[in-house]
Amino acid sequence: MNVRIASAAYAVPPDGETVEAVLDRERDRVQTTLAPLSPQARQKAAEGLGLSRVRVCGGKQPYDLVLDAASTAMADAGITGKNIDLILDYSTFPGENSQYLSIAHKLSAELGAETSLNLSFKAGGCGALHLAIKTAMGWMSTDENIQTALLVTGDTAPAGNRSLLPVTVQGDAGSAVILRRQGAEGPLLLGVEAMTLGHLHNAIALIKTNGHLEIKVDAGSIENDVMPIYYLNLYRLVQKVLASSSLNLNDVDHFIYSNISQRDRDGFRRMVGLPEGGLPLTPMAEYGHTFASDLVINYVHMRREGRIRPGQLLLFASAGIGFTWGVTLARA
Amino acid sequence: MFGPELLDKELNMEIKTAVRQFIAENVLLGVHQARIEDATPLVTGGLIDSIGMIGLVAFLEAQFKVEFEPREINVHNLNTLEQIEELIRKKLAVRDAGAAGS
Repeated sequence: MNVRIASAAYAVPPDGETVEAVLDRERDRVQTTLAPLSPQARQKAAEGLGLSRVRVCGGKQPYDLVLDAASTAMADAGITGKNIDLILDYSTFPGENSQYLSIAHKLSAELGAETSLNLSFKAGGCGALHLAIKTAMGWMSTDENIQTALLVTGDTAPAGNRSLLPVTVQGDAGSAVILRRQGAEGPLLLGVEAMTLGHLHNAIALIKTNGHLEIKVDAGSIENDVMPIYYLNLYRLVQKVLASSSLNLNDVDHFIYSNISQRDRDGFRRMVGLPEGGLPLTPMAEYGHTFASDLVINYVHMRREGRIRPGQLLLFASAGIGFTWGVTLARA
Repeated sequence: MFGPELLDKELNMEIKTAVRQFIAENVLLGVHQARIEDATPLVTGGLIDSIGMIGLVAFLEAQFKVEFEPREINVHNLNTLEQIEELIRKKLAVRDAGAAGS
């Protein structure tokens, strides 16, 4: 089956906030979260983030961002709503006040995708893009009527919950990716691998306190349970997806990795054996970590800058809550 | 002839020695092996980070012909030489029992 990334786009809200202001406002929550860690680990938690600002939903909510991104991606791909056969919404935090049953269904109505199959699932955080791609490819492989898929995510932190230290600080964004079967334009998908470990579901969890959603980060679990296998699982998936195409790490031209923090990007860089500065610059300092939109943002920026040339091998990798790991391989 | 108890001790020594040597040479880049005691906390003590774990697990799997499930890899199982030795022994026992039963 021949499936290509026909287009991709993202949208961020115009309003922003400095990471310093976020951490100052959420100081008590941060201190409580980091309390189980050693003094050394507590100090390291806020170091090396590489994030200066985050974008913050105000007048525009995640659904609006998704609609903007989807409209741009459709225009870029030269399609209309009638061409869309499948809409997958993989938002992890679509908004506490989101009144929609499913972003996918509302999007279907507004885009004129009258016959699309619509599905929303909520899992994976930063790793969810791979779950969505794998799900779309699964649908495509079993239903020949599904030729074009629109994958979307729109995420915003619950009020007062932008800090996910010791991991990251969350900014808001929406993004869209269009996959086309038998298409002629865009990178050809060579493989996608994903894994989830449910026993780590509480490492970063959503809880409700006094009627409001809160993100609860179990810093001890992050340190003791997640981090020892964080890069190991990514590495194994990278090797698996490359091996299935008879390729190896040296064949990869561009690694497209998430914007969780600069220290995390350094870890990934070391994992794949790149020298210091070997990963491309991203807008992470301005946008913060935007969950699964990170990869779309970074991919779109690389394309805009003309860094991706025909024939080059792209490896998308990310890991997120759930806990979820994923890797996608494509040939431009 | 060695009794079962002595064989157990030899296996323990072999596991710890091999792992200690691997960590010293490959993860700690030449730090003297004597500094790695049986109970030295490797992960929580900062001697092995997340990237170092990739090499350590690959070494253990290749050296002892075992495979780790993702769930088995955490600080409760791999933080010290003693824990590593215990985990490897358990996995070898399961593997050998499986081989005997097949």
